[in-house]
Amino acid sequence: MTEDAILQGCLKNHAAAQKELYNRYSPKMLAVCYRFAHNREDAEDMLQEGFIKVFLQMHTFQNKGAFEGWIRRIIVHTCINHLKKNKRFNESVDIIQANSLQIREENIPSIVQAKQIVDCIRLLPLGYRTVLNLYAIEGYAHKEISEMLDIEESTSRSQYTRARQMLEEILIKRNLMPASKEKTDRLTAIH
Amino acid sequence: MKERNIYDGEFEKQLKEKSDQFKMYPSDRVWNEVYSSLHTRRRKFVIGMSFLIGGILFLAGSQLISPTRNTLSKATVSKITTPAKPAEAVDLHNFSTGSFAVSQADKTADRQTTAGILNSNNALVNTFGISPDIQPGTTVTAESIAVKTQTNARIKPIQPVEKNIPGKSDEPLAMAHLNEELSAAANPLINEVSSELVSEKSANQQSHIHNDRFSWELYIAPTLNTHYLYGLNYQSMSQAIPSAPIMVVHVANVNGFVDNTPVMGYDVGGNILYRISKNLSLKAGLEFSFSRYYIKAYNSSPGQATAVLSSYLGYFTDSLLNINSSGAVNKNPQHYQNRYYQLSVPVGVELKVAGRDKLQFHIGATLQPSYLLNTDAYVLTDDYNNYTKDPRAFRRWNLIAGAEAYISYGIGKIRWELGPQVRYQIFSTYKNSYFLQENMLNYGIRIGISKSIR
Repeated sequence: MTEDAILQGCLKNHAAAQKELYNRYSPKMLAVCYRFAHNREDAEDMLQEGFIKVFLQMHTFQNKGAFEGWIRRIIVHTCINHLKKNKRFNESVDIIQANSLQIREENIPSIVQAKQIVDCIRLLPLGYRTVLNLYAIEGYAHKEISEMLDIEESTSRSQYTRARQMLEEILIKRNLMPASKEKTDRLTAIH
Repeated sequence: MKERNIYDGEFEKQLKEKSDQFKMYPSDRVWNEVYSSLHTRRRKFVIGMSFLIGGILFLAGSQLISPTRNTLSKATVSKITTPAKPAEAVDLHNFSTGSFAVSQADKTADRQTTAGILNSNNALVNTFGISPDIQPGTTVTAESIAVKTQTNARIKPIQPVEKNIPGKSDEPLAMAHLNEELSAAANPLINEVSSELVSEKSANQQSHIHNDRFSWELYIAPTLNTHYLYGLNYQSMSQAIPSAPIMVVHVANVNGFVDNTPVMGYDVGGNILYRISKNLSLKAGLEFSFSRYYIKAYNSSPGQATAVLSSYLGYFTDSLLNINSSGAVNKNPQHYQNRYYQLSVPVGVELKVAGRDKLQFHIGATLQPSYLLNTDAYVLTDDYNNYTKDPRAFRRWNLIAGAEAYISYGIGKIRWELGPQVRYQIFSTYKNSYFLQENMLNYGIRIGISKSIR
């Protein structure tokens, strides 16, 4: 079934088209939710809420951009709202002065599996994780993030800096990323 | 190893690529919840209708099946009126409420022997021969009661003189008459009797009024059956159905490719009506509907039909006998009938707009959950060239909206009804997966009879 046919069917509230759309995009979208969520159950709740919104707002989709991107934006916003509603997002918000931080250029080796990366992201505190997800993976600007999360833009930047730093440390610790000498020294000193 | 600023983007890019490769498969629960949320209106409607129909049927059943108070009285009579000792005296002073239950029962049983059928009080007085001159302390024997009941000569029945008084009903006046008699006698016992029987009479009246709320109706309606076909977005169909002719895809009104003629059908059914106010009634019932229309098409040889459920779920192919709608094979067109047999449960309201006893004007509206009994009608193939039969395409359960207006005329206890009706099938005859939608619209003249249930 083509994307147009799915869209037309969903606009007519046809269950077959809705199921087709769901089957096509739910695995990716659940992975998105999972990166934001506390656990799988929460992620499924987010996904469910998000897809209901997708179907109900289908008429607002104008063929100007990618369908998947449109769905993804709705899902991400649903995740954020879910976190806000459950007050989990505020658990670990702190402000880090990011300007002085310098981060290595090391790349993530291609052999590293997607699941390992996601698992590492999920080890971050919720506040860091949310900002990192929104900025690094979903591509939102800090200004947008600050509006979505009701925080200062500078807070978003600092959260992200700290999140990235922590993520790198986790990746290095799990041998998913080569450690620089400077970083290794620092980690040795910490541990 | 050189350091770089965090906003360079290489790290983010790689992080995004890796993260996007990750997929998870949700449990079935998620889709079930999504589905039920999206189609909750349908579910609510079904539940609501079930409760409504169930409630009405329960109410109707309980009213029709439960015994009336009169029946109970008669039952009591047969048990109590047999005198154990004919000469046993009864002191009126000692009459208890229970004793008067006997009296009250007697009046019901002995209505033929008395003229006091106007109300229960009269009957009581006549049955027992209690005249105003009976004084407190008077002893009345069962024997004397029996004698007076049988002869009834000395006792002058209370005549329905009140009937001559215009603008008043009989019963209240008869009651007034009795009360006068009782007052004249200044007999507190009789007053007690009176009040007992007034309450009994009131209960009987209420019972009658209650029963009058129900009525039944039977009707038949010759109908003219039209139908409307709707297609999908033809631009998108061009991708979904590569075999569709260009003109279908781009010009695209399906009704322009078929030649269908309305034909007569009929509806027949019955309702139970429950009057909730003077002019407004609820009704529920059962209706059988036979509707049909002609398809003008041409015979063709059996072949492969790219059949119906193709726009969403991929192609089905069937080797079925096809009827060609284009006339390419045989130049002599034939008429084929598409017949639909449906059972439905009309539930709705009816309003008496005008009229009195004899002549009345009513309007009504119903919603009718319906079930399609047959699925052997022809369906159009997705290239609009042929008709074929495919039971998979049909939706069994549907919903019909009906409206009617009729004049009713009372002859005796029966009311005759005549007026137009229209029924529109809300959901398509075909399932959602079929690429066309068909909605039936039936016009008819309804002829019916109705009668109150007492």
